[in-house]
Amino acid sequence: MVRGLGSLLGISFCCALLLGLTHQLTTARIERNQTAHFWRQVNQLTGIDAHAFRVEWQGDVWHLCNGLALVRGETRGYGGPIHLLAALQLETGQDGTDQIVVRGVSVTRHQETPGIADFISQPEHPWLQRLIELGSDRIGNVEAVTGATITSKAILRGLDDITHYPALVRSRCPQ
Amino acid sequence: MSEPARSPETSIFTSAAIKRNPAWVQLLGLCPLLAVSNNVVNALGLSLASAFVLLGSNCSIAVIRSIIPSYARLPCFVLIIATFTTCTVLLLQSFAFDLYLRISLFVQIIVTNCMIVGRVESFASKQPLPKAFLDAAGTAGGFALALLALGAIRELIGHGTLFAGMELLFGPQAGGWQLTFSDNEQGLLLAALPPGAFIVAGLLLGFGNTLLRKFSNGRELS
Repeated sequence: MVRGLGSLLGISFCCALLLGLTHQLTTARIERNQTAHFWRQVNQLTGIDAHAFRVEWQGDVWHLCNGLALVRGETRGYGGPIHLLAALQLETGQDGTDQIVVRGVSVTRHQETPGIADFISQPEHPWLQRLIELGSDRIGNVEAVTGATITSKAILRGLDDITHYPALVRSRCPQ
Repeated sequence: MSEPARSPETSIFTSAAIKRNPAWVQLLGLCPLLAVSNNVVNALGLSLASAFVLLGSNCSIAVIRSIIPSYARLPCFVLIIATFTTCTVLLLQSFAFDLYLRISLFVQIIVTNCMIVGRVESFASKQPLPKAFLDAAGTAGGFALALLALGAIRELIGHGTLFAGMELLFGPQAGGWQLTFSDNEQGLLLAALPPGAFIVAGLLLGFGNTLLRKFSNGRELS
């Protein structure tokens, strides 16, 4: 019994050691990948080299001070939460009311089924491209994707949520 | 004419890869097989990840098999498999981050893949390291063969392409490896969707079993 416990402790120690070593070897590279991925998404969303702007999140909003605001949102998909990052712009309509227009949308994290919901990780996918330039009042008219209805409707719901608060996106940058 | 005699090593490998193919003969690990096989790059990513875990855990368990207490062997096996799965997740995040974002869910659940626990319990925990290595290599090869066949057929029918997105695994220079067979980008959508996975897998299973029966000359499959 004691010998068995000793063996278990030894095996656990070896496993912990292997994990620790792999973690040590990969941490820096993973952090670099995550940062590069974040900036790639921001650059794709805004269409500019956003490195020039200081990252300054105010809650879930980052005002880029060029008319655009990046907003983080979360929605419930088929496999769990879907985290969204959207580039939004406030526009004043002919009737004088403020409306949010989507300039770009990207999924930063999700647990949707691979093979079925791959398109949400591909910003160039035609369905995600259709969301660009939409006003907050037209998001509800977009049709879901065949075969990934729950996932695509979840994204539309999430986008609808974050585009209904013009005050959130209104620039807080010095004039 | 008599068949040439095969060495025991070759026999272990071919038996694990073909006669006892984890996917087509034992029908193990079908959940990731069906879910991730919508194109070749996803299939290859999961094949490599599963192979790493299988080889790592089989070899480690074969080495320490004499000190694993029999009453706690399953927790030990799961602990070792989970360790290698976590290492695979970290290595994928480190070296193929974009591919990881696509298939992360099914890489994380390799730990529950009954194909791996099955080989560890029935073979690696009772055999020396070289035999356990060959068995793991054969099983991983057989699983990869099944995944890649399914991935290639589904990508071809579903998207009209082959080897699309290989840059996710092999870097920017692999971007030109894509073969396009159809101008219609969408292809037959059914093949890329889950029902298509079941249909193609069923057809491949039938085809594979017919071939196996033919080559075994009517002998019972072991």
